[in-house]
Amino acid sequence: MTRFPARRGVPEFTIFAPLIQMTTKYGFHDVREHLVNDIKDAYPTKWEGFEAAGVLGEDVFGSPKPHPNSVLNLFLEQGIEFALPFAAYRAGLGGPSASALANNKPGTALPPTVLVSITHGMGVMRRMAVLAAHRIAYTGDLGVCPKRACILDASTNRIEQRMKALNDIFDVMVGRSEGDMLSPLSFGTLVCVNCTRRLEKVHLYFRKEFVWAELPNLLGRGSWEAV
Amino acid sequence: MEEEGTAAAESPADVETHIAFIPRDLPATIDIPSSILHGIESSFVRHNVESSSVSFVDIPATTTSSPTLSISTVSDLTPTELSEEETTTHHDVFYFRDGNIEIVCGSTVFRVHSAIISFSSSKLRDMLSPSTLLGAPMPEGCPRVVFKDIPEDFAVLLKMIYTPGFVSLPFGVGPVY
Repeated sequence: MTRFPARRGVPEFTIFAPLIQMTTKYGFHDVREHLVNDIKDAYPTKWEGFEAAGVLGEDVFGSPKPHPNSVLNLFLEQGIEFALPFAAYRAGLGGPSASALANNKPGTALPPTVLVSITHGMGVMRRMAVLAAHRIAYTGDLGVCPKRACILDASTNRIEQRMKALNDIFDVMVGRSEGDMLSPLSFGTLVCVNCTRRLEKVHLYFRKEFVWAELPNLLGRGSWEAV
Repeated sequence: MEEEGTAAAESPADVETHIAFIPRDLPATIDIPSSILHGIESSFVRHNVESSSVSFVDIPATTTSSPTLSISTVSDLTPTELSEEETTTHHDVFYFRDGNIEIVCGSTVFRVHSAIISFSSSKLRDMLSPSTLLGAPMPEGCPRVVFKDIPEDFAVLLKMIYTPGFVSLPFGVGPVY
């Protein structure tokens, strides 16, 4: 044991968890507050904070990275309300089977009501993502690109290529709907630079207004304002 | 600079029309009252191994609605006597020979300095005050009390108390004198 260890940021989770429990229990309120402050950036409550965050979720605890379920359990136990929506989202990313399998690891079993709520909420979000992908790709909202070189131009003699590009765009978005729906997509060179930007803007809007905004609902909190 | 091909979906309002079909009234989740969530005893909370011959200081670690807990008053603390059969081991690090109080968690004995512990937390100061320790057993020459904590967790707390910089507190944050 080193009496004067190097000053560091957030302790690893195996230290953080008992430390926050013990400091709460024995009235070390300053230390507790400091520990909670340390994780605020990694569990943002605003979209701007999410976009600006360098480290997100359980990654803030360094190595060994804790299971997101363990983190969520700790936050629930300790009443760290602001962090619950994002922690629930991270726990939900693994899907219900991952959460069930996690039961083998101590401390990772979510309470049944929480597990049901997160699983259902994530399912709704993923269905919304597929609907959005279909809408964006196939209902003509991408419009017509004035660039002759772009596959979305107005010419009618490239219908097959245009359909293939739209299928690819759809596939990219649907693929993401099965993963982390909050992270940005790369549409590569499927369409021209300007159309790619339009796609990214539409997708950004979806991520912000339909995924991020719904995170508090994963635990029945309603809205970010209610957290 | 305006670039060609950006006519569509440029303003948020335009963008919104792209996704306006998504029913906003979808049932996003099953509503769980926060009171239920707060009441959940998560599996993260580990339980101490209890000894039938020892009455523990019972301080629940689970918070209710407020992070500031109302726990561990002097009346919660009952200096207790371990039974003869109880086997205890000294903690590897936090068993100071010159300590003047013993705290037992599970089967682990910590021997620490009451002044240092009390200096760190008013709650612990109350719990370990002389009047509280009056009548406590002294199997190894100093008062012994039993806390209902997991030894590893309590060791983390002691490490924080005894190790400057263990938690990188900003300047000015520290114990309340």
